[in-house]
Amino acid sequence: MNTWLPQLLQRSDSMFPTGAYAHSYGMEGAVQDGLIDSEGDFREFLHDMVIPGLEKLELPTAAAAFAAAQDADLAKLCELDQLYGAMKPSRELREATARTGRQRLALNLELTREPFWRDIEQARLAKRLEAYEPIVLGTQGALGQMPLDDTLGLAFYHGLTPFVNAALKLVRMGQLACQKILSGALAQTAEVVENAKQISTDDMGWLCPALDISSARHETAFSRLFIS
Amino acid sequence: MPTLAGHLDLTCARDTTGRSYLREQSFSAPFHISKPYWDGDALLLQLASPTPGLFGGDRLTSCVNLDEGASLRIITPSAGRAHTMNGDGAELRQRFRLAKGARLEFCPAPFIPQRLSRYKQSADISIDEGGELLLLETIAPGRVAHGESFSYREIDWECNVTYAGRLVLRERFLLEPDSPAFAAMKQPFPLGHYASACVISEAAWADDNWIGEINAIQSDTIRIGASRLVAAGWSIKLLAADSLALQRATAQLRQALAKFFPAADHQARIFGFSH
Repeated sequence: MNTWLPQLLQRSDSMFPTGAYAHSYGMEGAVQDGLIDSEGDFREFLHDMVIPGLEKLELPTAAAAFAAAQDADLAKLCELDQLYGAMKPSRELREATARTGRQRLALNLELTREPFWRDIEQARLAKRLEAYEPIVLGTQGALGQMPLDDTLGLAFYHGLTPFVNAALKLVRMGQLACQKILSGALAQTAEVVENAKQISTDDMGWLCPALDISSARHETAFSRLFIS
Repeated sequence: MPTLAGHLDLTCARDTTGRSYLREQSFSAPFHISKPYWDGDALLLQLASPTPGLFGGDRLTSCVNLDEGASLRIITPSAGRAHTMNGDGAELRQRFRLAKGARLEFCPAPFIPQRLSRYKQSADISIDEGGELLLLETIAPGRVAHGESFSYREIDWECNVTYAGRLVLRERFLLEPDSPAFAAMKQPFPLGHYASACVISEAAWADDNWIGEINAIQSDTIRIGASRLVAAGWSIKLLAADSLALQRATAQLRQALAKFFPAADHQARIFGFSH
């Protein structure tokens, strides 16, 4: 049996306390803006707005972090972290991924005592990086001896599940319908991962103004269930 | 067809009376600039290109420097275009440098990518501490009145904004209407006009009272939101159902920003006419 599978199961389980359940990553704003009103809308939302963003920004970032962590290149990791932050124009989306990333960093540090995690935490305390989620996920894969493809597969899964969890509360649909939509999205994992690996750091990026706008408006929404 | 390799190089400085002036200027076709004038807040300069439009193979560069305390407002008289082209695309490379206390406003009229056009634009913007930038750029879906919407081949976009040495905004995207990933650009308006503003200002960063005015612009034909960048400024994104809604909304947006970027006649400044 490989050594990284138990770690993968632990770190991708919903009981692994990163706090992702408290975020909808802009979806609540999209519901409030009328972009999502039904199961069909949610499926389209995942397909049109979420998956391309994961493929073109989140996963290439995680892949670059994976490579930097393999080389124990903290300076490169900090540079990537700043680049990623500058590419998230919505404060809520940016801070959501910083919060879960920081929590994942703290957990990895406690659980593994890996020196590179300590270096990253010290860099974070020195404000050299925020520890955004894709940065920490990529690092986690490299330090846990996980293959790159599986690390990106995990990042893809983590990019999808908060939306599915949020959909249960925000859209009239049940558990089975959510799982069917998640299964349909996960069926694209290999293709998305392969495409993401082809995107260089210079070319990574994605434009989804409707989601950015919804998220920006959510910051000042009168009522809301989720932090983001 | 012959291609153009035009350039625009400007340096704006502030004189001893506090007025801004062009200390250096150099340009070649298709760029052309008007005689600038001081409007009380900024040096107003009309940039008459790439108004005539870009053709395949055109390569343009523009370099604008603002010395300490200089204030420059660049406008364009009408929409920019990328014409129908085969083979090579057109490219515009921009570099803006703002020294301490300098202020640049650049709100070009909408860019219209025509059928089968291919366009690449990059902007490298560096702002010293205390400098201020208002950049508002708009991409139309095409010549909608001619039945052309999202008929262009590709828009390759890159914009980096650095403030006090820190990267605060990077926009990087490739718009390919034939790609399945393009579907997001048609939400919520199938013929959506997209506008993006980058507001770099310590004063605007510290004060969010004006966000209510921005949010109030939203309507059945407009979606708009503003959010703080990692430092020093804001990103404002806007989607409009059509060009008239876009024009109204950008005028309202400009008005809401007048607190930080004074402008007496915003519609004329942006579109070249009042209405």
